[in-house]
This record gives sequence, C-alpha cells and structure tokens, in this order.
Amino acid sequence: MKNIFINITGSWEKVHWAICIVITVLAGHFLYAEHEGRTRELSTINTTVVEQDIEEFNTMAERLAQLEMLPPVRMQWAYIKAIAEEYGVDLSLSDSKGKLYRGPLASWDGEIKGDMGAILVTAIEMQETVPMYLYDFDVNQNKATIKLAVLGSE
Amino acid sequence: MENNFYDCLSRPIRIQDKGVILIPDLVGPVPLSEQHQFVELASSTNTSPSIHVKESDIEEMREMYPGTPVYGMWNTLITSGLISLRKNLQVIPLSDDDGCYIHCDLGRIEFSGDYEAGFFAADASFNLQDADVLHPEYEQLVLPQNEAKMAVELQKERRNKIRTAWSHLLTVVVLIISVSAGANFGLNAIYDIEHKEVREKTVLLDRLRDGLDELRMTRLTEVPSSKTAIDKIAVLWSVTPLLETDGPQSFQNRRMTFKADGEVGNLSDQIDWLKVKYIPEGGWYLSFLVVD
Repeated sequence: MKNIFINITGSWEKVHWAICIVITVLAGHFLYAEHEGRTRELSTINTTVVEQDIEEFNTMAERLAQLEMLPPVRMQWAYIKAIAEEYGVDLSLSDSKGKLYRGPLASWDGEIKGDMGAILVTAIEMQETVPMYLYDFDVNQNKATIKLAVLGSE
Repeated sequence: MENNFYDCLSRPIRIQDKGVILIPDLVGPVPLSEQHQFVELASSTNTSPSIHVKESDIEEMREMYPGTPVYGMWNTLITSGLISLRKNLQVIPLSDDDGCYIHCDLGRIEFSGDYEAGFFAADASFNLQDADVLHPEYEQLVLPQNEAKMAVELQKERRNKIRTAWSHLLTVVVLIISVSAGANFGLNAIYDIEHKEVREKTVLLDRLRDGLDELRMTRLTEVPSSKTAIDKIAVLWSVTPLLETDGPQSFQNRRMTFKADGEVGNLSDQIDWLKVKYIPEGGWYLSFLVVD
C-alpha cells in the first residue's frame, strides 16, 4: 500500500499536491453539503408528531363517521320555517347567506321577528329541532328579533 | 583491479555482475565557459554538491561500446561509500605527479578536479603529501541509481516524468470524485428509505386530514344551544315585561345587558345570577353571563 502511494505520488510536485488537495476539499464539501441537506429535510419532519397526528385524526374520523350525517341545509330551513309558522313569528332569510356562522358546515342566515314570548319559545324549539346558532338579539316594546344561522350539509 | 584506478576508466568493466563503463565526472560547480558541455549526473545532496559529466564523453563511449551503460567515476565512488567525508583531500593518481582529486570540508564534499605536476589549480594550498590515495577495488564498487544520460535523454525522461505525474494525478482525481459520488449515492439510497417512510406518512396524514374535513362538512360535532341564555331572558321578561336591549346584544357574547324601567326595583335580591346597576335618570341595567 505504501509502495503504491509512493509510486503514484513520487513524481508529484507542489502543483499536483495542490490540485489533489483542492479536489479532495471540494469533494468533501460536496459530500458534507449533500448530507446536511438530507438530514435537514428529515429533521424538519418529526415522524413522531406525524404518527401522533395520524392516530389522532384516525380517532376523530372514526368518531365523526359514527355521527349521523346532517340533512341538507335547505331541508333544515324547511323545518324551522314550519316551527316559525306554528308559533306565529316571522322568519326571513337574510341575503348574507353563510356569513354569521364560520365553520365547516353549510349554513343559511336568517332572523325571526315577533312578540317576545313567542320568539323565545320559537328559538328554543328551533334549536332543539335543528342545529342552529343564535346571534344578535334585540327587544324593544315587547317586539323581539333574533338573528340565526341554520346548519346542515351542502 | 589494476594498480591504477585510471586504467579502468573509459572501457567496459564489471561491477556487481553488470558490464559498465566508468567515465570521469565533475563534482561541484562546472566552470561557466564549459557549462553547455556538461549534463547533470546526480543532484546535490546534504553531503555532496551536484555531479556533472561531459556529454561528449558519454557520446564517445556510446559509439565505442554501444549498449553498455555509462556511469560517472566520482558518482560511483561516492555511492560505494569509498570517499571519506572527514578527509580533506583524496586523490586517484594517474602518474606520480598527475591525477584527480576530491576535496571535502566540514563533513561535506566540496569539489573534484585534476592536478598536474603536483599542482592543484583550484587551491594552491593543497599538497600531494597531505592527500590520501584511493585504491578502490571492483568488489567494493556499487553502481549509482542513475547512469549517465545525454541532455536529450534527460529531457525526454523529465517529460515522461511530468506526463506520468499528471496522469497519476488524473487517476487520483477520478478516484476521489468516484469515491465521493459513490458515497453520496450510497447515503442517498440509505436516506431514501427513511424519506420514503416519512413521505408515505405525510401523504396518509394529508389524506386523513382531507377526509376529516369532508366529515366535518356533513357532521355536527357540537350541538349549539342557547337555552341557558333564553331561559334567563325569559325569567327577566316575566318580571319586567318592558325589557329592552341595551345596544346591540348577541348570544355569542359573554354577557348580555338589558334595560328595565325603575318600577321593577333591585332584582339582584331575587335573582342571584343577575347583575344590576341603577340608572340615575331612571331604570336599571340588568346583565348576566350568557354561559354559566
């Protein structure tokens, strides 16, 4: 081995050694940079966190899949319309469809207007019948208004 | 061995079972006027200056004895270890008063030359009486590494050496690049397995997230209820039918505030969850937490 080395480098001068050193340094730098890139990419993705997320998402998906699928929001509106008629309150659909509720489900915005007592009863009845969020509430001279968002699927 | 070592110069002799020719050479500086006639035989070392030989001498020997390698006399004697570095003056006599000499000083060979009629032209202080006479024997002789070569041959040799050096360098460079490329490829292959695993998990996670988003769009995860707040409003309304909202109120706020006329009195005594504030102009502010 030593002889081979001497045979190869025996006739070398400074310039040969310099070139050899430069090439070795460049090759080393290339290897180091490539390797660092690989490890950096891996270190940015924490596999343990990814695995935990997968498990958590799986559990959530299973739980959600067991829940009943919501009827389309159009049908939900039909329910509350019927309730409003039953209690004699005015139900109107707002132009701002889906502005009140900020979530993944589809929603229709509307408001109920009427006598205070009827409005309160209607609101409870509606919320017990269909998923619905209540927003602005206004009462004056025994006349009340509640803005609402009815939830459903698309 | 002949009585006189000079007799074995410039003719074939056998040294170490090899037929060779020894010719006179010159240790030390070559006179400026003769430099073009000499070629280097051996480079300088820490014990000896460079040794040169006349190119015409080599040429002559080549013509007379083709194929026989030519070596320098002093070069051979130095290589054989027959020159003592401690002796100031060592001579090889040609006759009683003529011959050649080599001068050493402070453990290093300084120069060689010829003396004639006992006179040393290089240094008049040299004296034959003080000189040691060398009597080398054939069996004592060891051939130097390099035989004497013509300038053209030396040039060719040098060119070959340069070419060899560059070709060796090219081989080494190719080897270095191949090894690093190979190492990089190997590391890539190893890390690819890990990357693939991570990629697969990330894809699975993305798919799950998409699926989950889709489920969330059709499933109700939280049932909205404002019953508590409505019940509280109903209680207030039952005791004060002329209830009014104080500015914009929302079921999504933390607290709702109403205004009631002064006749109702301080309701906080009757309703523990109610916060009451008297309005000097008349009436009461009634507020409560939407969610308990």
